Amino acid sequence: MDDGEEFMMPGREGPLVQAFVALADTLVDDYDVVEFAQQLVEDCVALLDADSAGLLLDDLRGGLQVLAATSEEARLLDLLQIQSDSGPCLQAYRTGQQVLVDDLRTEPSRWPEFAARASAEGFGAVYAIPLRLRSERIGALNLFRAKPVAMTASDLLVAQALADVATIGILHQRVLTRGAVVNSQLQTALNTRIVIEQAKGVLAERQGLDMDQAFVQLRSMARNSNRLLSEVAHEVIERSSQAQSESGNAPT
Amino acid sequence: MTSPSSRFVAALAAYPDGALGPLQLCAACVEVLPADRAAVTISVAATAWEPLSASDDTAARIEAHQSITGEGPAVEAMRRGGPVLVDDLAADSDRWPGFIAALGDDARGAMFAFPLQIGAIAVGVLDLYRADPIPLEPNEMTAMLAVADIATMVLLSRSPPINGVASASDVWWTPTPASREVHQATGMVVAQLTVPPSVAYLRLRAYAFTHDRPLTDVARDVIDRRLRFDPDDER
Repeated sequence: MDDGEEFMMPGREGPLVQAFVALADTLVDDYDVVEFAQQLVEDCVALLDADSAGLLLDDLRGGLQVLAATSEEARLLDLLQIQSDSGPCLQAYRTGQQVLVDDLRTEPSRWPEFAARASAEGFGAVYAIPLRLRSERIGALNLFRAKPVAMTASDLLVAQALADVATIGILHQRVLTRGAVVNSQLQTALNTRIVIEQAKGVLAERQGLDMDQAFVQLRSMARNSNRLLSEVAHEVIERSSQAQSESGNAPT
Repeated sequence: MTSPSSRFVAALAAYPDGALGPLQLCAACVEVLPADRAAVTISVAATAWEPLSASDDTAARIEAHQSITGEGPAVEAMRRGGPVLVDDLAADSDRWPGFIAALGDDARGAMFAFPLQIGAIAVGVLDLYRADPIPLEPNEMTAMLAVADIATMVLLSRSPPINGVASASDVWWTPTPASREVHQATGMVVAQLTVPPSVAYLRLRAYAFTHDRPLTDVARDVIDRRLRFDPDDER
């Protein structure tokens, strides 16, 4: 068959190329940093045979904050967030080195609280990949596997490549700038996340959704109207805070 | 050695009850931060800017030009939702031609614009100036962010909800640690009360404050539908 070669790419090479092309595509135009990070963590799970993934950023207030996760469920988000104090993500962020725990059962003592909660959530292995740009470190990518199976060398190459793409995407076009400017980009990214959380709350209240459903709803609103997630989130909040004057009840 | 943010709170606390306003905020910024002048601009509408206060005449002039031309670091900071750092105003004339031209001789030194915001809650912008074009070091930026967080709370609510408690204002102004539950609950209260997110956030905080409960716990109750805010309870 003529098109045979295209389908003979071994293993994940095809999906890998597709994922990087899609991410690179996003970076060309105006894009939403949270949507970009969301796409990236979903790619991580698909490409690296992981069960969950999350991305944390330095909040410049002494902690790490979740920018994106493969599930909006509190169980995963809490597991990511507690690493603001202690855990593989904090270590990867601080040292700039990958932290690989192939089997949480064998080394629970490094981060007792994190290890206990990760195990309770059914995770057997955890990996933290630093997000770094030259000497700057901005956060870490966190991957979870249910089974305690070691990452292969090529898995880790892919993981670090995805983390590097994440760093470039989060820092936007300003990759050649220095420390304080890098930090200003983190603030922008994290504030976008806050706007989205606020909009999720509005949708959850108005439509009786849980936060996971509210996020799905917000993303599909953005996709259907071909607009940025943050734009749609702002609009949801704006509309809800002014609904009274539209209903005709308020004195004009 | 104390942190700039705790020195900032101490500087604010030195003002007697009722005397703390934007002018005192700017003065305290200059006192504790590596900046020579400070100014606060607030957003009065999506695209309208109003200089609120400045630590000196030069800062006031620059703010006025920014508001009139509708461009400059503060305008961009608000639009982007993150700080805008200009190491040398004299070297950045291409970025904001109208604003820089209007500045004339004032177009020199460094200017750093910090949005005073919590997600969609946009209070205004804190502009910090240096007479000389010296870039920010990361630790200086961390200090400015911490001060901007406190300034956000002060401007959001000039007076704490409990009067007569000596330390109430310090506690009230100290920003609550970021938590997605708080942001989600803010959105839910926006929908419950049909109010802007700033009002919803203050209602949540006031509830936590007067019931002596952590804000995150109160937010969790809202998310789990154990606590609702009723428009009829509005005073």
